[in-house]
Amino acid sequence: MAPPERRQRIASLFSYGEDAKGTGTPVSDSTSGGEHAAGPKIYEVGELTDYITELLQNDERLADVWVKGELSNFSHSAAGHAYFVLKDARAVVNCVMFRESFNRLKFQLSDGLKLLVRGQITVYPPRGSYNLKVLEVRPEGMGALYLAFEQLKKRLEAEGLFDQKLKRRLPALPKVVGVVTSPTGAVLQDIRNILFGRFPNAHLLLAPAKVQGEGAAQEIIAAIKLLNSLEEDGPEVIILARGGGSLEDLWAFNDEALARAIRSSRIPVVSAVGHETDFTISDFVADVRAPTPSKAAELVMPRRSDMEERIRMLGSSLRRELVGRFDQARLRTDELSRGLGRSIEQLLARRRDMVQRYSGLLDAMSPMQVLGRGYSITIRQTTGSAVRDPAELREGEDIRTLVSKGDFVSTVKSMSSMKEGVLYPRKPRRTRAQKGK
Amino acid sequence: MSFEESLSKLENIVRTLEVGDVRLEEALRLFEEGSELSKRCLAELDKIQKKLEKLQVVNGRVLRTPLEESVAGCSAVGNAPPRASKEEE
Repeated sequence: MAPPERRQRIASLFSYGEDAKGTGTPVSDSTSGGEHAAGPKIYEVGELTDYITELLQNDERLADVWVKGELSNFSHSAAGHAYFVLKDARAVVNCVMFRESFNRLKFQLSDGLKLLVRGQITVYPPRGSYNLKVLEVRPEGMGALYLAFEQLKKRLEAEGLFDQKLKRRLPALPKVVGVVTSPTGAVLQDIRNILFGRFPNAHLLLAPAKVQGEGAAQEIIAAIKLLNSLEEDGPEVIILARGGGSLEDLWAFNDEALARAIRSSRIPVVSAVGHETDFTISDFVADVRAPTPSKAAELVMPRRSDMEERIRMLGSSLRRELVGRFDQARLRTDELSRGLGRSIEQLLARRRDMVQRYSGLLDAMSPMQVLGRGYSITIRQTTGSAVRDPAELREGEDIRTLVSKGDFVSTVKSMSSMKEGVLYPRKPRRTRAQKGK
Repeated sequence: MSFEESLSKLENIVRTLEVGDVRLEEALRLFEEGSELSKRCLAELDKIQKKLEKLQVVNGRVLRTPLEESVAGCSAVGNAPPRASKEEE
């Protein structure tokens, strides 16, 4: 309640004096003469307003009041102040939020938001209006950080920053893996263990940054830029990592400038912030989102043994396909040469030569697995065909032996033939040929 | 050619050969190229040098220091407190 003397002033303002009752009409000109001195007290507009101002601003309840309502008619002045009204079904109240308070807001004000507002009722004499001078604003029904996150996400999404088309593929085998995280945390250890466990000769390059608290976003941005600026031995992929925590702990990763730094990174970025259930703006804007830092290391680095296996498989498919292709060609060449006359056979000669030249090589190549177990294949240098029977050979002839890791050339000294599991020394063919002459 | 390019080229060659309608000469050429690529890919795996480094900017210059040392040394960087012995010196 207003103090007694103020009640009195209110009474004197809004009722006519006793003496004026009889005259019927109030006298508006207080300066017109003594005979009207008994009439009502006449106020100037300014005076009235001063009085109202005093009344409202001295009220303790109105000096610090929480109001809830829906935000509407939001506008933002050049000076940085914000104006809006707060309304419900029955009424509206004009609100002004000065620059200092407004700049502290984490989320953005926009029409339709349900707000909880703390402020002070003030009077603005030039307009004859009262306002709520807003000091603090909270979104109704959710945390301010959560709303800020939702708003930024929506805005950047609308801008196309999360577009799938912008996402780059990670390199198959990064020569250098850049990591942006705290140099002291367990996260770095996790990434290290996975990285080197998968690929023992990996190369990890840490760009340390604070991942929580004041200035963290700026440090992370600087670290990403630093990794991007390296001219030699720079990373081919960047892991941006932080362990789990509350929304406040992870807040640095919901920074707009950081989102833009990730998007403009020349090097693909994997975001691994918090636990599987935590989502940050960094996760949405990065090229790849990993549920945890350890998982990020797995995504980035192939298992060395898997990679070797894959390359070897490709190599053997290559040989298998070519052997098949040659078998085909050999059959066809044989068919054709059998069926056609000499003139045409000559046309085929080049092709047949080639087939012959490579067939020995191919025979040798297909059973690579066998060679690996210590077997070898011997090829005649002159014809390139594999030796199955020493009878094909001549003493003194050069032969090439293929083993698992390569080949070597040797000279035939003597030969034996296998008959029912027993070796019988064989007379060299050359001798037999000489005898025949 | 990067590891990635070599690998995908090798994969393409195998796919082309598997489809099968390649001329013999072409098949041979592809085989030779593919063999070369697979050798190169395997060699690339060894080209990476095991390293653990940390970047530091000191007076505007970017330095790379081995991670192990800076962790063990404690005093060099980061939030780790300086060693008592160094303080006393």
